[in-house]
Amino acid sequence: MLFNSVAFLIFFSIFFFLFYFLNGIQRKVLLLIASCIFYMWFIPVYVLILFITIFIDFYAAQKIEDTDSQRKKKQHLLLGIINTCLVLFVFKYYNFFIDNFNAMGFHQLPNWQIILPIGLSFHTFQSLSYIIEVYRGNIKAERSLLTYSNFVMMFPQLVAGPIERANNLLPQLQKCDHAITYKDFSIGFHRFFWGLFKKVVVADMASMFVDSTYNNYEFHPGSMLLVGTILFAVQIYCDFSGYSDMAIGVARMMGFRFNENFRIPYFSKDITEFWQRWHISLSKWLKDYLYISFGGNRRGKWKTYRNLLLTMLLGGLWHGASWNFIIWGGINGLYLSIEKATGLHKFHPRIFILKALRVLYVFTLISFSWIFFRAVTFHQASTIIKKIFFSFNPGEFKFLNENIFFSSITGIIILLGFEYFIFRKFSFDQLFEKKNGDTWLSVMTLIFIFLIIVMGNSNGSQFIYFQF
Amino acid sequence: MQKILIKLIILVVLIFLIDRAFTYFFKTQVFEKTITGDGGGAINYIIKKKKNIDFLVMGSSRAKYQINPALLTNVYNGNGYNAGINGVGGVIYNSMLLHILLNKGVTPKAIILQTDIFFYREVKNESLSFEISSLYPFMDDVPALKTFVRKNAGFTENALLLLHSYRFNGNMLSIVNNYLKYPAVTDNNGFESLKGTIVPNQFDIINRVNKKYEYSSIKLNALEDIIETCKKNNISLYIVFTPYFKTTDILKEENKVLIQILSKHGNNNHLDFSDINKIPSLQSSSLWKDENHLNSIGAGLFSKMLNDSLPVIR
Repeated sequence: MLFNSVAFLIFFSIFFFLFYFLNGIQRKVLLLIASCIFYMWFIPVYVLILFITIFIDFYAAQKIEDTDSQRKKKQHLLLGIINTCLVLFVFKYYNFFIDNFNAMGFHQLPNWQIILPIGLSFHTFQSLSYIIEVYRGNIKAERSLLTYSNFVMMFPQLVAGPIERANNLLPQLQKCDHAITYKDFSIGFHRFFWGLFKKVVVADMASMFVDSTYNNYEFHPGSMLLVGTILFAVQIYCDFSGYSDMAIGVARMMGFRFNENFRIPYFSKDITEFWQRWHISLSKWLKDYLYISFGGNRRGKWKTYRNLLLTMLLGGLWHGASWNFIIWGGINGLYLSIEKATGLHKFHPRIFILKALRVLYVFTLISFSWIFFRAVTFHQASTIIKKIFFSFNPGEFKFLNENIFFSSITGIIILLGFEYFIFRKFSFDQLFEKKNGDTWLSVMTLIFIFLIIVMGNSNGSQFIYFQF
Repeated sequence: MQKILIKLIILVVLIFLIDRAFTYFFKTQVFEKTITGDGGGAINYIIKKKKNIDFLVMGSSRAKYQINPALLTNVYNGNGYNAGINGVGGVIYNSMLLHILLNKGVTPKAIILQTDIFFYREVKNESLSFEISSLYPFMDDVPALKTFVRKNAGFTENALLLLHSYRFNGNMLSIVNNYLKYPAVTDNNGFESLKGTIVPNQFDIINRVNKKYEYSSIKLNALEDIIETCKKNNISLYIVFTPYFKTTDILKEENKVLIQILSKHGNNNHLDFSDINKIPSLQSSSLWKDENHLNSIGAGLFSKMLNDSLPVIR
């Protein structure tokens, strides 16, 4: 089920009403049923894959906690990790490895014609973090299968995150008898519509130009591919952060607090800061479980750079089974390493123009890396880069469809206005606490709803990150 | 819960009030005064300035850019208007447009409908509302449009249409732009010509299609609706299959599906130009803008050719 659909609106209205009046175990059961319906709306049978990972990690965590032997704890941890990763490998990476084996001429192994279960990487990473934390002794193993299933399957974050940590979400789910306050509902409600605005007014409108240019890149000049790339940078931000806003908003309406996933990343002044503000739940996951496990910055300069590069390469691979994602991760790892080596991220300019230039520098570098993210093949990405850099002629630019193009630009200007003047300075909680804050938030939401109706793309298109 | 419900009710009421107020203001003060553009402005132009036309050319961009009513002198001395639309001029659009125009008092004596068989092919998960969304502003005036949307546009679209401002979804900015930019336009017959020429061999569509297609019953019904509406209103209907830079044999075969529907309703007025092999005078690439559209010179030649094929009607 998509947040940007009328079906979800009806589903959530019914769910919320029931959830509000139920308590304890009844609430937990309702949440699990709702999560199953939400997930099964896509491909019903895939809910079984979810249950497999849930069972594996639920029992692995208990075994880890119940045994005193360190060696056995490690064995159970490895068993949990391998089994969870196996599911991920089979569904997500099998074809990639087969293609590469075949390309190297070893064997001609057949591909597996299968549709990737939606949000597989998200819930497997969430499960993995849980058993690792149990192994590290940071949290207690969950003894209720119902509670643990809700931790993995809770519908607002099930298909595209944020990748919630057990120490934040599990305690909230254990009791599940919290009162839903007006404040929680109101903040969640407004946040949901802010996310919906980002998705349907900005991301979905920009995607029309991006798809036209990227899908027919051979026929478009460098100037159009450049604009397509810039619009993709906006599209992916609004698509994914819009989803996160909606997920956090929906959870908040239900009285749950999720961690932040985006903090206006395109206002970052260096790449290091960008990665502290972009897909925060994944960045933190990669830092805690890969970068630090590799040794972090404790073993000298060169090893720090190596660790950064390796972490980002794996981060790229997490996004998808394709060399383009690995290159995308590699480029960002390189950016981070260079910044660390030059100490650029420690220099904080105070003059506005220098700050603006730094923001532009980050946007340019990040947009360049998005080319690999958006392009389907390496050939496509390299052709687009060649065209942008070596056959750039602004005179060849065409709007394709003026109506769509200017709607996208209008949406982006409105987005920038809200982000720069409001959300850069205040969170939704802070806005709510201000004098007449709730009224102002309601006015903002009315504006968003109005813009969604008259400017939004109502096709109910999927979110980019669902494929991961 | 009480506070939450009160908030939701207030918001719903406010949304409803703003929606109705905005729609009323925008429709009466901006939209109805807009007389250019594909977002409904061009239709307003016909309603306001072209009520007395004798014939109407309808269709897609292949009508708009290729058929010049002024050159169709055999038909009411060329006193016609080209209502072809770029991008979405499928048969459903044209059927609904006809209802709108008749409802608004535009009653041509003849209609030349350019159509292409591929508009009728069944497309999986196709959103029919895309084709007619630019007609939504006329929804209150045309029961046929309302009925069609209710029946065929799907649950989501119908739910969104409960908000009247959604009728301007995706078109609001262009309507405002046309309203401000072109408060008045010089008298025109709707025809627009394309400049430039095709790069030969850039596109090769000869073998583009070679399979059996299913046809959408909704779209075929829309064609039947046009035929019946014309009959009811004593309008002579001519169907035109316009040429392509390179012919596909399958199109010729497929066109028979539409010809059969016409004959079923006793109409044999179809003019098939889809086989370019039979039209040597249009084969030069210098006459084409792209593989689907003739340029201004080609359009002139084609319009004259069409005029010669049409019966003299006065």
